Amino acid sequence: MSKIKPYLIIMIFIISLTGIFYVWTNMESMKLGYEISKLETIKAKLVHKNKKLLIVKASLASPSRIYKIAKKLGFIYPKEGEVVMIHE
Amino acid sequence: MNKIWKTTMKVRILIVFSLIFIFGGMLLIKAFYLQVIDAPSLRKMADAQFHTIIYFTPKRGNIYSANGGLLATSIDVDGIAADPLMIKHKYKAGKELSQLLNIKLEKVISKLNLNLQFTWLKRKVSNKTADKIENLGIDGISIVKQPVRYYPDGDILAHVLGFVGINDNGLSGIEYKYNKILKGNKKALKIIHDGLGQDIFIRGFGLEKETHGDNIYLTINKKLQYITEHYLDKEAKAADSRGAFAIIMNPDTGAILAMADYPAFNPNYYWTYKPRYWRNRAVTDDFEPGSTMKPFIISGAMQDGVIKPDTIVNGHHGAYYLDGITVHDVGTSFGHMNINQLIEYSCNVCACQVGMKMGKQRLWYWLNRWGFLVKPHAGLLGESSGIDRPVSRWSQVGPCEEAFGQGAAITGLQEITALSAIANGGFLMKPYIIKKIVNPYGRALFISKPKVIRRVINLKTDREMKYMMRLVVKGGTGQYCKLIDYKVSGKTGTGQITDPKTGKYYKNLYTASFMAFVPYKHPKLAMLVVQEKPLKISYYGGAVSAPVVREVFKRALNILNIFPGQKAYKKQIHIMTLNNLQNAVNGIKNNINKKNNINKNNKKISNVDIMPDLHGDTIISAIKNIKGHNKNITIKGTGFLYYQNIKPGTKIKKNQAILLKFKPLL
Repeated sequence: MSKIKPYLIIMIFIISLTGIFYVWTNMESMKLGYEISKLETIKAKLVHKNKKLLIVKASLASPSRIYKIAKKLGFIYPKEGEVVMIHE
Repeated sequence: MNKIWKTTMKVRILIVFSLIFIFGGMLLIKAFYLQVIDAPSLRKMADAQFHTIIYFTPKRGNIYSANGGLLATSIDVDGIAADPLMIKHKYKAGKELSQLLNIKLEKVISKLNLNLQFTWLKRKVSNKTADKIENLGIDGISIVKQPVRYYPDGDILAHVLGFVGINDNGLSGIEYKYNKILKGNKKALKIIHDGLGQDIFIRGFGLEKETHGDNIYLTINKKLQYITEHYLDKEAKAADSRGAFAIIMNPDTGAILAMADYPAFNPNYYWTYKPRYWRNRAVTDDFEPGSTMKPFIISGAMQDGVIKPDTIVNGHHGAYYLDGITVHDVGTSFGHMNINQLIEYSCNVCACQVGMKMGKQRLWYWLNRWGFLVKPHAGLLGESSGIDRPVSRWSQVGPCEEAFGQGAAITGLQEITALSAIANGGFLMKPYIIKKIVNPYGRALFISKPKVIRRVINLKTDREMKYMMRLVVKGGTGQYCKLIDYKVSGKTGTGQITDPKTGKYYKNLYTASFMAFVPYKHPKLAMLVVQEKPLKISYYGGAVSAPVVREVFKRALNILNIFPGQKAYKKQIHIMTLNNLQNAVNGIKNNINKKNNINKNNKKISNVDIMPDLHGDTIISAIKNIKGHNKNITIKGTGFLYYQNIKPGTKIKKNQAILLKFKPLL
């Protein structure tokens, strides 16, 4: 029986290590993929919520709404001569 | 023995090798089939198992005002869809769904009985309803997100913006004209999922933005737009006009700052209005402008050297016979007058004579020069180029009629653009409504720049015309547009309307218009208001349209921080330092309280002894406004109030004589 050469053992070791590393990275990639997928869903929900809030904000800031509230509170447009310029 | 064994071994080896060879060959052939011949279909099958193609429905771009105020946006809304072939217990499912969706049971059942794989049950439902339906867990019922266009300001700028149909395609206005830009690109994305169908990895970051439509910024100032719509609506309702529109333009650039139409509609529910409500009259409707045409024709005549501001023209006391027709002045008559007065009092007879003096060719030239017979190309839907007969078909009196605005039919957009040219020193600017187009990443793809089409009149003629138009507001037909702090220049117009059935003018139906710019010397705003067929108050542009311009100018100048000139400062404005700011604020507060009749304890006091501002009121409304104050009222004249002996806001003594003077507008 011939003697097993050391470089062969090293080679097998390196190949096995590379294989394990390859599998590990794939597993990690899959794990991260799931996480990203979940985060993407959360992000989409938040973006949707954000957009809804922007629309609500725009509706609340609508000039016609502000005018109605101002009128209800008794505000009036300044008449001519009632606008005062302030010089610092 | 040994020999026999050897032969047997050989045979056995041969058999084994043959078997290995046969099976190996078969394997190779199978592998060849799988790898080469069946490969494409097998690859497809594998793809279908591990990959899913999802389509990113592009989000429609937003529309913003000049300052970034949101005017139109899209949001995903849940819709309920059914695959009738998958639903097992149709009656049970239908009953549950009809309750939650608030649809009749028969209707739901009929939809569930369809021989289809997809049908909508309800397109727009609330999140709560969608969640409840999802919780029912009915196989074959799915929640589908679909974009819905939303206009947060409701009817503001509706005629310009237009609206979007159920399939996310623009159907009118900016939404239709720029549909391709706003709509974005549909893109497909391949995602990997595992055996349970869970998504593993989406290689498509940023794809949402990539598919998002571009955003459009308009030149519209939202605050100006609102006050324009508000006062146009108020006045048009009071005058019982069939339709009306108003446009505000920055005369230096040609940017459209506001564009309002009456009657209004809400684009969120556009289908509930008749199609005539959707039309943007300011750009699509041609109308004979009447006297608002005079400044343009008279400027041309002055530029040609046909007349000068001090040229004397005979007003023929309101009736001028010419080649079989009689030209009348409306409501009043004039003797001899100069060109300044022609514009100030809007004399048709005089304008007719100037037109005849200019001749057909020069008049036609000036109509074209002011841009009346070409499309303005402002970026709006349905822009009309105006209508006029070719000059070869004009009658002998054609130039006479054209000179006071009967003959050529123009659009509001054309007229405001021409008015801006008078306001800015004689330069005809290209009107525009698109400020910029920005992609989803924020990069500007297009930015509008002011563009001079041509110089129409020189500075001398321009100054002369501006002065004439100043006289109109100062003491002429446009006095209802007078402001205390600012000098306004304008021109009134009352155009006749042609009956499409007879081809003749209606006897009592008019187009009442008023155009003006402010401040007089360095105009920052040009505005046009046109009312179609006003039936109440008056049919004169100076009576029903000028007040809209006045009310809008008053507020718009404050909004845009355009301050009165130096003289007005000295008269009206208190120049203060920050130290006495509190005193000033208290002063203003007291002033407002006084005008609202509120005493120091914030309690409303009786307004029996305070004189209201009655300027511009009719006799009936003036008496109504001071009803209960004092019975000792003397009325002189008829028409609209131009004088009251007691100043507004001052106390009326017991039994003090009140003198109110009225006069007709023209």
